[in-house]
Amino acid sequence: MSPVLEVRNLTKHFTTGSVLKSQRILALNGVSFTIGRGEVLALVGESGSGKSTTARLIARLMPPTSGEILLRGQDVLKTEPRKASRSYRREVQMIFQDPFGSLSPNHTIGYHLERPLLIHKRAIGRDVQQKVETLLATVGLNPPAEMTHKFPFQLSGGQRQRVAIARALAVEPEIILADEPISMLDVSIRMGVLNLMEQLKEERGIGFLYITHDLASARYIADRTIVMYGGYTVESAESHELMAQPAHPYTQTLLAAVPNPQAGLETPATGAPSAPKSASASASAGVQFSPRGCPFAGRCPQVKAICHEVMPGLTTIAPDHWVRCHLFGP
Amino acid sequence: MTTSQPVLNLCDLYVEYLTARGPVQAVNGVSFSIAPGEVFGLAGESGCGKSTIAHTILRVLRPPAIITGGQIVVKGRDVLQMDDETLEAFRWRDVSMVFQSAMNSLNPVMNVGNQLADVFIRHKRMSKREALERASELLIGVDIDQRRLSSFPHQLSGGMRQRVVIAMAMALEPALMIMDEPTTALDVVVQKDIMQQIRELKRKMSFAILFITHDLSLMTEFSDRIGIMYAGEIVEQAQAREIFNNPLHPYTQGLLGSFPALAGPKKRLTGIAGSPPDLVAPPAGCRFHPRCWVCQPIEQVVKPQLREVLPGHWLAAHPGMPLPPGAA
Repeated sequence: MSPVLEVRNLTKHFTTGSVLKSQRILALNGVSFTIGRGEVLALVGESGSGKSTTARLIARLMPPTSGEILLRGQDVLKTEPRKASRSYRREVQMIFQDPFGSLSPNHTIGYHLERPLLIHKRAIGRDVQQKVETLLATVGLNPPAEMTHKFPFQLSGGQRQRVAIARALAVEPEIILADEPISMLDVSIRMGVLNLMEQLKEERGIGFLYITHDLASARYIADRTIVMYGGYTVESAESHELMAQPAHPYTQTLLAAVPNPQAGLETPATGAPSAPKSASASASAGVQFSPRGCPFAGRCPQVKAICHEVMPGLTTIAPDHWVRCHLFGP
Repeated sequence: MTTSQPVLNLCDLYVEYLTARGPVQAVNGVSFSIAPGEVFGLAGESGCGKSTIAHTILRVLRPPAIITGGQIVVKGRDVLQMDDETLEAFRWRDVSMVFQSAMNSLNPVMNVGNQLADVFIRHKRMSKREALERASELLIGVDIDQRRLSSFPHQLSGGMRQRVVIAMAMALEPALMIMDEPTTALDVVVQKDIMQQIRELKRKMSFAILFITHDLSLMTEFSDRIGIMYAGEIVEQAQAREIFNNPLHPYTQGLLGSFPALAGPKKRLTGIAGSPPDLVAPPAGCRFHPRCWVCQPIEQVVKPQLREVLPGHWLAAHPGMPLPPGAA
């Protein structure tokens, strides 16, 4: 079955600095992937890896420097180059990390859900109220009639995030871009929100792009996971496979760095490479200023001479499992 | 090793925040102690009172917070009775703190060297030159090149800034360091680095740590003992491994069950339904009872006391609560 969303060679460069000394930040370079109906794809990486930039590009909050975004096979950058159409905005929705920041403090929950319904003409008149209450019930905010009149400050973080999901659902999207949707929520609340997302995927066939730095939650909810570093995709596989058989040295580093409750205070550190100890380590992980070589070369425990000079291409090492690394291919 | 007095002994602490709606009972009769060189983890979610406790120990609570009861003894001295002058000498020398998001609270217009030196100039009346030398040693101690003395905070990565803050807290070699979410907002790789660094420093300097975080996995890996807090109370307390392998309180079980695994078969997790209570009008009896799945009628009326149900394993439960064999 053909994918709902496809991005090809998505690239985004930012220019900063003064007129005399401008710098280019290569935030995103040649990112390609697909999301099928009812599929959850996780983008995992540290801050500065380009994962949020990817979401913002797909949400068309800013134009890419180059690359293609295809929705059901249609290149939207060609068909609607200047501004995303209302139809695109209906089909591709986004939920953000900060549950408080993404809701207007001056408006009721009901208002937040009415607006998309009215703007996208999904309901009129008395239907609107009915639809709002149905949405609230769908995301587990009960009793809906009461919730409608509340303001964001009266809700907990988890509840606010459910409102954000309800708002995205209101227009019956094909794709939901979820940028770190649970990282600001209390631990005991997170699973509830993830389970809700999974339920929506199963019942409605919504595809999710799930962006996170937390590998464990990616493994829990995502069908496939792509690891990003320094603006590049470095490994991709089915989620369980990726965590069980990580190929890229960076993926291995990430996995080894996740806290292991079984290890105690006396256990020596595992042999995984860590951030470089020298003071010349760059500020954020791998945001490059020059495009030579692999972005991870400076920190890689298995680095070879060629890694500093040539960017590795993608090598398929197992069915549906590829890696970008000279250890496996050019 | 002779049994020495605990570095910290917190006894029956009560702290409230006075708000327009009424007093918020943020800390409701909390007791625990920390032995010299021990890492004690205080785990709980937002609003459970752990940060309030940290601020109380250092006596940096701001109004509308008031201490309404209890005792805090650090190295044999009663902290709540200290006057301002004594507090000046106490803070940073006996107890120091790495605050939440401290890396964002470094002075942006002062270079790192001067900020570190400030600690020595202020507390030890050193000359500027001497202080900068000590600052340089501190930076080396946290694995930062001493050339960074002249760097400004914005020129350092998040991980490096956090290490500067840790260096600052260690400067006067306190017996107890309080760390409130020291690695939140840092990537997991940098987090591992920082925790390793702290481990190394602790080994060298043998300070005790009160480690506060919501990340139970991190806490279990790093702490000797752990106290689980909920709505202003400690509900369970034991050795870290014991908490992880044998959680007895439903809240602890729920919390541990909220962390998806990186290995093993796919398991559906539920977290804990509901949300923490309004501390202006908390539930009567056990504060967790509205969300609890093994609640007995008595829990709704009478507050359960912390009892030692297994050696070294304390649990806030009424005698009727189902417990594993061998427990009291």
